[in-house]
Formats: sequence, structure tokens, C-alpha cells
Amino acid sequence: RGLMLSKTFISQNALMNNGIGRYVPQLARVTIKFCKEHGSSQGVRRYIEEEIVDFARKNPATVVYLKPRRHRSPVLVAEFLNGQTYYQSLHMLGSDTVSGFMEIYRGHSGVVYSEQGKYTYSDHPSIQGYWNPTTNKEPASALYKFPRHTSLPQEPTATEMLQQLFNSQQNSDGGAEHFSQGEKDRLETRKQGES
Amino acid sequence: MVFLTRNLFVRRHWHTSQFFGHETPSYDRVWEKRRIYQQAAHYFGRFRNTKLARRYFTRSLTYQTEGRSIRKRVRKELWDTRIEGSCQELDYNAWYMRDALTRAGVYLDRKVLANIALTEPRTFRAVTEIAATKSMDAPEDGGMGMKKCGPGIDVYSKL
Repeated sequence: RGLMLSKTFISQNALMNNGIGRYVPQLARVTIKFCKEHGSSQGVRRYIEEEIVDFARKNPATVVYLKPRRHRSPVLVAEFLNGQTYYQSLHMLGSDTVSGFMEIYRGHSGVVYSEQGKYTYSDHPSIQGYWNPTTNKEPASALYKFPRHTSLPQEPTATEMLQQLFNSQQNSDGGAEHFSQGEKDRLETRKQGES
Repeated sequence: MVFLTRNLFVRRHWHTSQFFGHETPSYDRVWEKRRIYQQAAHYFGRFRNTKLARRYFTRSLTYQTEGRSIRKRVRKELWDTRIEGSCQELDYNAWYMRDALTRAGVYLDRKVLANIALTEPRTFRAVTEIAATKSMDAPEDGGMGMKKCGPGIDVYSKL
């Protein structure tokens, strides 16, 4: 991975519309600058002698310019329909490599090469709607009035348990044998709410 | 006449290949330093424009290497937390979820479960109900014999 590569997401990286109805070649113009004498342009010169006319014939949408320039290193300037310009050095490259680079740029979309951040993309990430705190609650809960007495079976509270115990003791009189007569009298007088 | 002075004064910089991402060799150290400074451009103060930049940039590279395994672990923990929270809302103990789903034949992983809990809440509710039904089944039927739990919706009749 290159250090200076930027990251994009698939929606920006691959437009993916070209070729569905009609394929529009994105390479608009190719300019090859080379030197007629220097050894660094030897591969380029060979490519120009042998293969460039075929290339131009096969790609009528692309314009090919040749610029012989003295004492310059050979370079390929590729311009695309989205305005992007690429400079590719062809210094000391053989004609196979040069034709390889031409092929790369011929099929390139013009979008700058960058690292793929995600391999998935969706225009509609959520079909059922995103979760919100009210998703799993019943709508009637918006109209609740408090205090609420639910019909769910609830465990008895501590107070209720004590009351039940006391009442069951009173009714069955099972606990009466534990108390003496004096205690029973005292308990009777201390009951609240009774005259 | 051939004028070469301008050419000789140019800082030689061999072009980077846009497609392969690796730089061809450069014989002027200015470009090597420039690469470092570009990577350290967001550092504070002296750390971005002196030789300290190289030191702290190499340290950031070590952080990147270490972070690769840490990211995987943190992501997994985050997914677990999200699944746990979503199950809690539906009155189901997510501790048993993986086992129950595997027994039921639902082979969804943590990433997908965490995502559908956010983007597809009804599907997640149905999946939790499948897990809950399986958990409540008796051990003879292949379940775990748990008490009543789960959202309590009707899923199996619709499958």
C-alpha cells in the first residue's frame, strides 16, 4: 500500500454507469512528448514506429498528439473527460511497457486511484427504518396515565406478606397457642381502626 | 545552442506511478523528506517541520501495526455490546443467543446482528424470538429449558 494513497468509498470511486446503456471512452487526449535522439526515448520511438497508428485507429474517441522535444525525458500526458490530467514518465522504458501504459490509460475512468475504504455501498441502508427508543414499545404507552395498576401477576410486597401471615394466624388461630392470654389481650387492644 | 542550465537546476523527482502506489527511486533527498512532512502535516508545532517529524512518523507506523489486531478486538467488543443492549430491550439474555441461534440453524455473525439491530429492528426482533423459543424449549427437544423470555411475538407461524 502506498503511503500517499487517499481513501474513498465505492460511491465516489466507481461510478458504475458507463457501459450499462452505452460505453463512453473517458480518455479524451493523449500527448506523447519524446526526444528524437536521446536514448531514454528509445522505447517510445519504437512504439511510435510500430503500434501507435493501430492504437489511434482502434480508439476513435481519443486524440493522439506527438510532440518531439529536444533534450527532454519522454512523458505521456493523458487527459480525461472529467478534467483529470495524468503525467506518466516513459523514461528508459521499453516499447512493451509503453504500450502497457497506453492500455491502462485507455480504459481508465479518470477518477484518481485511491484506496477503497469500504467494499459495500447502499443508497438505502435501512429498509425497516432505523431503531429509535420507541421502536420496540407499544404505541399505547404514549397515552398511559399514572399510577398504573397492571394486570400482570406481581409478587406480593413485604407489607402484604406480613398482613397475610397475620391474617392466616388470626383465622386459623394456629398461632394462638404460642401467645399467652395476656399477650392476646394486648394484641386485641392494639389493633388499629377497630373500636 | 543547447541550454541545459535550467534542466540541471531542476530537483530530480522520478514520477510516482498512480496505479501501483509505489515511488520509483529519487536521488534528491528533498523529496524523501517531503513525503515525511506530508504525513506529519497534522502534528503539533515542531513535530511537523523538523527532523522530529521522522521520529514521530515512524512511531505512528508502529501504532498502525499494533492497531490492526486491536481494531479487530475492539470491533468485536462493540458488536457484542450492541447485541447485548438490543436483546436486553427485548427481555432476552444475549449470553445464550449464539448457542440458541446455532441450534436453530441461524448462522448470523456478530457484525450482521449488530447491523440489523440498528437498521432492521423488526428482523432483529424476529431473530431474538427464534433464539428465545429455542432457549425455552425443553432439553429433549433440543433447547435449553429456560424460563419465559424474549419479545413474545409470533414468528414460527409466519415462516
